[in-house]
Amino acid sequence: MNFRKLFAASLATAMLVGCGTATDAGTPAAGTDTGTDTTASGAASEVVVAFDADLNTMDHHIATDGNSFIMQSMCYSGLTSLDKAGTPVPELATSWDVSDDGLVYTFHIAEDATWSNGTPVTANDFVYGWQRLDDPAIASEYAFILDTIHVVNAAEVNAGEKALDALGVKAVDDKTFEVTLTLPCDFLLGLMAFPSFFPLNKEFFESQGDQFALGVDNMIYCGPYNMTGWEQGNSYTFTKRADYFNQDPDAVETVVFRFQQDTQSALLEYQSGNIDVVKLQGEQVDMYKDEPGFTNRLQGYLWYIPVNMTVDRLQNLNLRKALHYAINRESIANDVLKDGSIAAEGEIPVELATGPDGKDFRETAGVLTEYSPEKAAECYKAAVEELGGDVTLELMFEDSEASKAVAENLQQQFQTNCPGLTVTLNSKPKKERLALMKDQQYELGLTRWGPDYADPQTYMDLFLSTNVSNNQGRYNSPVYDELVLKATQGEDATDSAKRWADLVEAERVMVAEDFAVIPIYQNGGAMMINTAVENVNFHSAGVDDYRHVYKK
Amino acid sequence: MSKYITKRVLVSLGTLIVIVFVLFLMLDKMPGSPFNDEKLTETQRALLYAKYGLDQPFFVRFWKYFTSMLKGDLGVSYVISKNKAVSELVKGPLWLSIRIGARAMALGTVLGLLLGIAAALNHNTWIDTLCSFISIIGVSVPSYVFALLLAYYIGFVLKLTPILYNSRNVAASMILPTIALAMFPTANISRFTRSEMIDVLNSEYILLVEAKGVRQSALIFRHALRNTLIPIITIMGPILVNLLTGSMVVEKVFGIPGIGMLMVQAIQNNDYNVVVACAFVYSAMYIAMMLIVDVLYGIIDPRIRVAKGSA
Repeated sequence: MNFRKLFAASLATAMLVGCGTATDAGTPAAGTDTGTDTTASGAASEVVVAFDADLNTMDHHIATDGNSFIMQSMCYSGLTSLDKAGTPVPELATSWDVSDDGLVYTFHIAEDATWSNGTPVTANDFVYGWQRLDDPAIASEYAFILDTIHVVNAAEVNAGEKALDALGVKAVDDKTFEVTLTLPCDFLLGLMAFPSFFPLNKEFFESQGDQFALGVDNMIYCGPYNMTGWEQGNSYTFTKRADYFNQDPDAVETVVFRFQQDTQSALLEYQSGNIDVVKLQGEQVDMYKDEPGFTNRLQGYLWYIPVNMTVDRLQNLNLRKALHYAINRESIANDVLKDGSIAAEGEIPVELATGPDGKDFRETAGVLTEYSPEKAAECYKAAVEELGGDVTLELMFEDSEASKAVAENLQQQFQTNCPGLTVTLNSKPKKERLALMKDQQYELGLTRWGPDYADPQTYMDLFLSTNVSNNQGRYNSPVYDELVLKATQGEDATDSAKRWADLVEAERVMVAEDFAVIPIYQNGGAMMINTAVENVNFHSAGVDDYRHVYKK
Repeated sequence: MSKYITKRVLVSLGTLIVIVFVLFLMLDKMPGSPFNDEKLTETQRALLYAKYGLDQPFFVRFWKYFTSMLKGDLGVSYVISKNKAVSELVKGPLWLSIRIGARAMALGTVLGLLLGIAAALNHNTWIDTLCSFISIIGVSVPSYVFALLLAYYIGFVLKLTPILYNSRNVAASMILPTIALAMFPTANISRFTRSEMIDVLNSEYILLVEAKGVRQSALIFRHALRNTLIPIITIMGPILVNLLTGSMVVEKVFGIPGIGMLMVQAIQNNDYNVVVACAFVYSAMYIAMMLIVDVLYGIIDPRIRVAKGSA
């Protein structure tokens, strides 16, 4: 009996000791790449930002994801940067001249702008960087953006038809960088703040071989911060550079980006004061919306259904109209998503682009979407008559929580508001959904597009009949094509006001006349920001800016 | 014995080669590709395929991969850490997961055995009920819930440990994940230990030992426990592999950059080389563990060794 008691007591002790022995080893961190490894702390000289997606690359010419761009913008600068309102202001270029025909941009690079190894930032660094972006050997997914701003020979160079030095960029002298365009571009200056256009130091780059930008020792920087910690899958640390010529004296000493997929535990860390910025998801928004620090920033992402026009039934205009009218977008944004998303008024999101008149595109273009169960039922009835019977459609969506919720709601709305219509759901992983939709292997598909620059063209180009990669529904309208091409590369390209009017009209034709694309909602981004943290600049198009954050 | 082990090692190596081939084949047949972002044009995709050699026929790619794998080159990541060598990418997370998993296993085994023995010795008393209750909770509460509860009460309310993994304070960061991961082995091992121990204690040879007047502690640890361990070792192998290769859920909650998270990220992104590497590591560990379990069997129970040796 004694032994039994003794055993029960030793069990209790073992539980405590077991915890201790299992955890007291103070060995150095695993997974550390190079440099200092750092993560959350509540220090006033440090701001910790939680991201729910990981860093993919620090090489700004091959990056494609938002978080990589944000981190690159910490330690690299462009010719311009965006102020709070999204207006381009001087950064590495102190000033610029634009020729009268709008085809030649001459940037004057700051005399005291240097790389973190002390060498000056020169026009050649931009020439080299832009050429690398366009180099077919690099296969940069963002090479297209050079052609979007109409740099001379951008498309030909990227297609391998012309040599790299045929690209329309030139170093006039060490500090003068010249860009030549085939057509004027209204949004070029804003794009100069985008990482793809950042410079590259040739000498350093070549010295790194295939290790360039794979660790903190394989990079040099031309921005306000140095990257000092890189722990893949965990945290990325940026430390303020003392020798940056355009340093913001108020900006915080250290910014840490912390990858934390589970928002639940990230929120606990936020409440403990160890994380300063964290995204909210789903029901968390409802729970936190009245707390101090709650912030809702509208994102440029627009979710929509590109109707597959190659499907016989969907060539019926009345059926497409019925689908358009059947959706209560307000309810999707406010009752289903509840994450700060708003109902889409058209295919161009709000707060994306400002026209030559200073007004938001949406304000000029008006509300093109409409919810009307009566019209939906009426149009569906007409469609049934024309098609000779009730219709069954399949809605494809990706297997994320938000998409699933939206798709289920859409299914219910379609079936309720178009009596007789059957909608089935088809859930796929995102990559597979994209592949299937690209090949028109779908009927209705819920997809999204994030703007690359603050101009409606970033959306309008998608639906040109010639755009085989992005025009998933194969919308083919000569009227739309003509309007967009006239505006972006034709006779109206040089006239900002006419160009704008063409784009407004093109959107109307596609959304409210042909009903070829059904806009659903614009992504919201609800988040908690420590009330002591100031100056996080969000941009709905372009890269969010943490270069000026400080802690009170 | 050595002949037996050599044979087993060779079979294991063959199995691993087959696994790599099947993995490669499955990834090849899987829909989607690492490069089908919304923004990617056909030309760009073709360029990327050519750059990474994905445009070549299946067998050419497999042979290239296999031969460079023998030299320790596992290729580069296409998506999650672009152009970084996969061997580099996998090393840190794997080591971290192994460290946390090993601690959890140690804790779980000790607790499981103690709970099981305590329950068996106090069969049908409140101690037995309590131990059964703990093991039922351990098996049935999802690790996600358990991890969040730990994060909330120990990390957030009591502030005893960091909530999220922090590389400035690795030792403290490992406490919560270790406890969370130890729950499952504790529960499983204690259930098995209890039932095995009860069987063994009722067997005739224990009666004989008791009759000989051997001390109770010697009876339990030298005679009863040894025979109890045989079936337990069988279940410990797979549990250990599961722990060592990282629990996706627990790693996600505590923000641990371990191999489980890496594999999930790789699968979500179709990052072929990383998927193959992670799955290979997983398989290799599983096979190695099975081998070790078989060898341990022999050591614990000579009858098995003799039987296999003569076979």
